[in-house]
Amino acid sequence: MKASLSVEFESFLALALGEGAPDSPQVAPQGELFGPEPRSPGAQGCDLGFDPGGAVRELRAISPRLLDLVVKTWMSEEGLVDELRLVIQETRSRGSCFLEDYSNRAVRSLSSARARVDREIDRFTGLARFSPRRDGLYAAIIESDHNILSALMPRFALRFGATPYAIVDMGRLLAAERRAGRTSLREGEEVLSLLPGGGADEARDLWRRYFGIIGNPGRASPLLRRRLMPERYWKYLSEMGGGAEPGP
Amino acid sequence: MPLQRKPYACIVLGMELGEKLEILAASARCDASFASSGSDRRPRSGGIGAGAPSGVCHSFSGDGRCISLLKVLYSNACRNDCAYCANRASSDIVRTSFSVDELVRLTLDFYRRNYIEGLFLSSGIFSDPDIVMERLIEVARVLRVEAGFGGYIHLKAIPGAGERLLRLAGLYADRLSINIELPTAASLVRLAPEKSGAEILGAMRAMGDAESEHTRDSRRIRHTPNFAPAGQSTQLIVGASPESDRTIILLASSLYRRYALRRVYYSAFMPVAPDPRLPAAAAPPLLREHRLYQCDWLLRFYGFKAEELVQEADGNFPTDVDPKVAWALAHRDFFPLDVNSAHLGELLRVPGIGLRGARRIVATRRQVSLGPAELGKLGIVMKKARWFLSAGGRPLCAPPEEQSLRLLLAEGPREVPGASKPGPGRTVESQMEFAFP
Repeated sequence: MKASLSVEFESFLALALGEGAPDSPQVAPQGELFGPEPRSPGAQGCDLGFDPGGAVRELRAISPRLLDLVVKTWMSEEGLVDELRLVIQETRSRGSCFLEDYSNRAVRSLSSARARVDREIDRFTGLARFSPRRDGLYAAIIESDHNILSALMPRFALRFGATPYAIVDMGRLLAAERRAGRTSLREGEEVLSLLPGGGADEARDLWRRYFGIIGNPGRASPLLRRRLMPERYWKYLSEMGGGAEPGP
Repeated sequence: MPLQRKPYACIVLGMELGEKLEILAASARCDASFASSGSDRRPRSGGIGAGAPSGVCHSFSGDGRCISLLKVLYSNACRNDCAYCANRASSDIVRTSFSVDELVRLTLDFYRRNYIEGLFLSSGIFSDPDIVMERLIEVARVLRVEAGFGGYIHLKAIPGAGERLLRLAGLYADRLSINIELPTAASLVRLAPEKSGAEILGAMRAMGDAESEHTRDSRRIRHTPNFAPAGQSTQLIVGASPESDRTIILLASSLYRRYALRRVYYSAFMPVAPDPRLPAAAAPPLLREHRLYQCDWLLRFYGFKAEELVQEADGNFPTDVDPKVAWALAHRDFFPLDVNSAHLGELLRVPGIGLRGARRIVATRRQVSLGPAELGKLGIVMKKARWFLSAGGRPLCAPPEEQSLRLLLAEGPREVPGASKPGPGRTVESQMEFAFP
């Protein structure tokens, strides 16, 4: 199992807290992103003495909103480390009300980044399309503007119950798979093994027929639809002519 | 089997599922509701699905509406002959019905692929209302109990169905709704003679009472089952009858107040077949529908009262400015408001300041004193708001006289088909109001 997401987040967190980044990725997933998982044997955390779990607890104790801001800023992949460092420092000294000071440029930048990430999460919560594979796994492909895989996975845990499912982020070659209540990560070429299967799917054909008829022709507004669901999201939407790429 | 015993139209049996889906989805698309919010139902052990309290859009149809649910009729066979309805008894259309199993399978298959949040199920009245209601409940029961489905279910209450069935439906559904259809009893008599306003309002009251009882019981008894946790809603057709916007919005306000409705939907009338009882509208009155939704929002989230919102002599909203701007222009003495001291409720009355903007103003002014520069950064639409605000005792902009200000705040020419057609007798206020039970 790969730990890249957690490691990336911990490095980002260390930078934002002014602790310096770990030299090498040695930390196993911490549970903040993918639920409680044991540290891998021999993992020592950060050699510089940075304790990511402790940092997360501290941020949460200051304000859950601050922790959310840190996580979403990381997901945005927009950098903003200097702004985040400033906001963390100010919130530590002035309290969580600083997070509502929208006259502050750093607060505004981070709030905007968080809003973009939240919007992307909401969009893919609706637009991720799962296809059943012969092995019983439901798999979806996404290509998101932000690194939202870790936020999407828990959202689908309730939807799928005990049914195994996976989401593949083709843009980043990252994938997460959930089976029997545990989530595991894959990256690089390994994600290809989780791609949805191709071939006929009666439910998909029925969905296309439903979609073709449910709009009211007397109120047709393709511009409005394009605004609400921009074309870049159509690639994997079967109803918009896209579809899951066939797996191996 | 009611379909075979009493055929109100030629029902095609043995039709392929895809064909049925197309027919019964097309029959349901005039219903405006697609919402899947308001329920945080947890998944059953071994089942699938859960409620998403804020709702999820899974796609957008060609008319730009969010697709969140599988919205279909159980059957489009109907013995009623409502003038505005595509499925009315006298319509020459193909009639068909789903089976319970087909609907359950479709819902689960679509849900697993993340196409939908759940099911919106209505039906033509193909038999006795109780029998129709029982079929809808059976679909919901099989989904909930046998398939362990925790997703969203919106059931339509069938007018005339017994109270016992409505209470049963609420145990399986997240939302119940019954369409009031037209704003007055007189219009209902004229356009939907088989329907009764008293019956519809009676069903709303029964569902509201059941919801209150369950809420009360749940405070005392831990395992009280949920009753329609997303509440009830209704729909009004706009433009099929001569009532003014004032009549419509007063009715909506009463429904929110008396029956604790979560939503009233407004659906611009679209002619489906020529009928002398209907106005000869060339296009649906979409701008009118839009204004009603804006007004509805002001009622539910901005603290406005229905009585203060319609200012025009003919009882209709203006087309050039939105209802909030219209109210502000008619109440110039209320402004300017000091952005550093006005309370939240007052800020919400300022054009250009929405809910989020008002909350941001209140939060930010605890840290710094606000002026025009700061307001622009808070996401306030200064083009509108600056005429109604002051800071440090000075107005942000010296407001011009009313007509000039109206021109400045006008939305500009907007070609919305059918929007400005008054329709026959639209200004006549002679209609009989509903008698609320």
